[in-house]
Amino acid sequence: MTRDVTPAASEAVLTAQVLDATRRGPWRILKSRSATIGTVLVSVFVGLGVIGILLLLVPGLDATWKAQDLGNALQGPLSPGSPLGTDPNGRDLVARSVVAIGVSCVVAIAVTILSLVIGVVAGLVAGYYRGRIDTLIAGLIDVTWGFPIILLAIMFAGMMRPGFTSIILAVALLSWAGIARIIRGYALSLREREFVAAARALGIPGWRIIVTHLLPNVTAPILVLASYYIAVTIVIEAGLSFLGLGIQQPVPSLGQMLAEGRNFLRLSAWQTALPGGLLVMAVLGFNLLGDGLRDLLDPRLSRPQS
Amino acid sequence: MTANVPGLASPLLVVDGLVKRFAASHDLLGRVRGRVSAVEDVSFGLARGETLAIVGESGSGKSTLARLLVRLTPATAGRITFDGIDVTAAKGKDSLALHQRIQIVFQDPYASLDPRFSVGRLVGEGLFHSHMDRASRRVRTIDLLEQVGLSASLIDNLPHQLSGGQRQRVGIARALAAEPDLLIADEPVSALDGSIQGQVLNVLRALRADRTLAMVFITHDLSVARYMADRIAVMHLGKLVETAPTEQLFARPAHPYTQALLSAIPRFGRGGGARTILPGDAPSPIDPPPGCRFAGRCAWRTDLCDRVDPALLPEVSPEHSVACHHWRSIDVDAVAAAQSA
Amino acid sequence: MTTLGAVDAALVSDSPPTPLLEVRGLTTVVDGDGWSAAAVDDVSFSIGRGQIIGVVGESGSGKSLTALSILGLVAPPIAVTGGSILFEGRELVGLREREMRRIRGAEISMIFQEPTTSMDAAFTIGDQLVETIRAHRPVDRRGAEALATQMLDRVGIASAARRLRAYPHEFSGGMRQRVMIAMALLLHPKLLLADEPTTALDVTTQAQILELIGELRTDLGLSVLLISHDLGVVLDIADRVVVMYAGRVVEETPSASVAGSPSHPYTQGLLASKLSLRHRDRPVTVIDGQVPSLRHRPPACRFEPRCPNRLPKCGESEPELADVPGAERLLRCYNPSPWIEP
Repeated sequence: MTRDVTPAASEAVLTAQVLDATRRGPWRILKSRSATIGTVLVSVFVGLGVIGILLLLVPGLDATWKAQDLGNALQGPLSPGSPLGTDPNGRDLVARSVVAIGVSCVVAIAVTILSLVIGVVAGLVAGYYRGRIDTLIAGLIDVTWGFPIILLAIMFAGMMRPGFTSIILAVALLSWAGIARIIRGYALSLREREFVAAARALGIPGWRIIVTHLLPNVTAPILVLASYYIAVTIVIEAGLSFLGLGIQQPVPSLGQMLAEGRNFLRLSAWQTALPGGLLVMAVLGFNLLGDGLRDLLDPRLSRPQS
Repeated sequence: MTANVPGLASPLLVVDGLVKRFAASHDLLGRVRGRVSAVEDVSFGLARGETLAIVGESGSGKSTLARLLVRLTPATAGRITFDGIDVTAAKGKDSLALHQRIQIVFQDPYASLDPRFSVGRLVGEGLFHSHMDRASRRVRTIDLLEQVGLSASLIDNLPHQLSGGQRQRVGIARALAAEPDLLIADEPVSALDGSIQGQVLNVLRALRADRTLAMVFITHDLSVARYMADRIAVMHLGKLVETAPTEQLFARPAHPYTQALLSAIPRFGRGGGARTILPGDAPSPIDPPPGCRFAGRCAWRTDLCDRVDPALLPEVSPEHSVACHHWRSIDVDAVAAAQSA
Repeated sequence: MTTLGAVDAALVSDSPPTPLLEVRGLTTVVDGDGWSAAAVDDVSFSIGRGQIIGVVGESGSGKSLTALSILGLVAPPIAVTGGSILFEGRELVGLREREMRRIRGAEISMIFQEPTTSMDAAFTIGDQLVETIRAHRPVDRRGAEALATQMLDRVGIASAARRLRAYPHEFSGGMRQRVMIAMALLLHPKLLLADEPTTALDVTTQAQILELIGELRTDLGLSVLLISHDLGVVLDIADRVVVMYAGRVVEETPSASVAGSPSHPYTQGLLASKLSLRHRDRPVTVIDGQVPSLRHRPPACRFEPRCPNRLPKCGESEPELADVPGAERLLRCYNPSPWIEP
């Protein structure tokens, strides 16, 4: 067996930790209270989101969130017929909120998947091959990193109609950089691991090493990054929609609802409180989930050293 | 510097003047600060089926040499010729063919196996270029596992479920999958406990006997080198200081460093006389001195040693070379001590 | 070059009047999630003044934990649950942390395999040595520096005064180990616990360090508990050897006996695997199987599954560690066989 290096980490402690860590699997996430809360919040959010997407896509259901009733505008929560009240146009806020959540989910997930694909590939290729490819990609990362999102959103909104496509492209084209940077760091160190050297010595081509050896060993950071990026994207989308650069009426978006509500703040704080609260719930949930995943997948980061 | 190959018409491997240097660090302006001379003018030859042990301590450059031989890192200068092919210049298809004929086993059984790959998949990686179908691959994998003394039932196990000795044997099976003619074993047993070392050594020994596999066996342990090798080359700070057939090296160690290494072998209470203890520590391989690199620790050092780096010459016998100006006048007691080790 | 002569027989005292350290029935338990196991299981031995006791064992033997237990350096989930450790007649088990701290460094010191982890890379070694001295003795900085210089010199560091201002990374592995030894001996402790002090070093450096430890024993009357997985290292300088396997002591005897005629099949296996390297024409002797993990130990004799001498009763009950009549030896085995030199 390998010889121990640190005095305090005796063989026994290491054995105990390994034995404990390899049991139980995913359910260990429930050990962390914050992670459990995160999981619950995310589940609720995503669950509502799915309903929202259905409402959005199924033709007959538009009325729930489009039907205006100006006589019934700006009702507070628990009003008859509208459990969460109505918006300035009399539209039911339950339906609108649920659809808005669905919108957030769609955008966040689409952006995250897109940026993960670009970012992971870029990061792994840069980290593994190094040299000129790395210089090129690292340069791209640096340039993209500092680019203002609003500018890009405006550009895209100008080039095509503002909406789902423009906002997804704009955000994804910038977020990949952060992911690529982190994954590149992992790739740089993984590349030096002896099992990668062994594969190279066997004549295995680079792309295959990246796919079979590097990629599986970065699934942990990818999962953690995914949850954080979903949270971030939800906020960005809300911000852009707030400015009118994102999702357009009549399709609701949390940011859009915030913008509308802002005009009626003196009459009804609820108009902003509702979408604001839902945003907080979403971001908090995904962040806590991200923390929980990090603790689960890379315990060395969070456990005190023995 | 021509290679030292005892009377063989066509050796399998010829290493000629191999050099590997790299920058120790860069200053703020990107200029190189300090050169590490990891491998300096190393030459030797290896016949088919022969085992050569390269013995050295940390900083000797032996691991760098291993990586150079399998082209995990490019040489700064010098040439490696394998079965007549110039390895250092190989590209493309030739390069691939070479990868299959020269294989390597690494030191750390924990780091050299991808923790996510099952045993079967790890060994299978060695078969990557063989274009076998799944069934034949599996059959061949089981065959390889048996050759290294591992039960076929381990084929789906993950590395963390195996002991150090078992992992090391998986690494050997993987290296053998491509049916190499030459196996580079980089300290294959150094990370294993004493009683487990034997398991892996026995596997390597049996392989040698069965399949006329040539081996470059790298180690810091002279006892293991003596057990495994037909010839031994002693390396110090990037240079070969002595090469000889095993028994000749032990019978008449010429270089003072070899004598010190021999002297440091544990006695287990079985004789030995006075021990040769070297003063000081191995100097750093960064910016080495112009003369003999061992001079700083040598009891027989003279001005000549500081000025002129001795060449590795077959002075003790046609097969026994040494790189030392004063080897003839060195203490005979040390020789006697070595004989009883 | 210096030479390491044979250990002066007159210094080896096999039955000292009162042992410096007496460990009796030491048991250290590891608590896992719903399970617990004794990593050190009822271990006893004693160390006399000026004696070097070698503890040999592979991974999982509990040898390192034994040393850590002596100095109270174990923390949950590991804890000493039984036995007694008498240092100069004083009980160390259960001693308050404050008292223990006074003993560490001053009376009993420890050095480890990897010097870098016990030295802070951000401070010069002079700072660290001085800090150690002043934590235990009322000396001013200059006085402490003088003591530090003296000790560095004693362990063979050239230009000791100048080296006080160097940082740990400026030393090579062997030198760092010497610095660690200097740090451990600054306050002239009576006992040094050395946990694999030479494992990370080259053979030539290892020889130097072992020689140094031997000299320090002679010159300072230092007692040493030398822990190693390498039987050769231990047999080189130890007076007595304690062989541990899976938390138990399986054999205890003077070095010469272990080297010449080990009794326990495990010890025999360890020695045979090394000596068999001398014979190129046959396979190396190996011990079948592997060391049992903490949680899955054989119920009776822990070595039984791997033992060439095993009898049915070895699987039924564990042998006691007993005196071997006529020899100065303790052995835990039902069926030892005479040693056959490979």
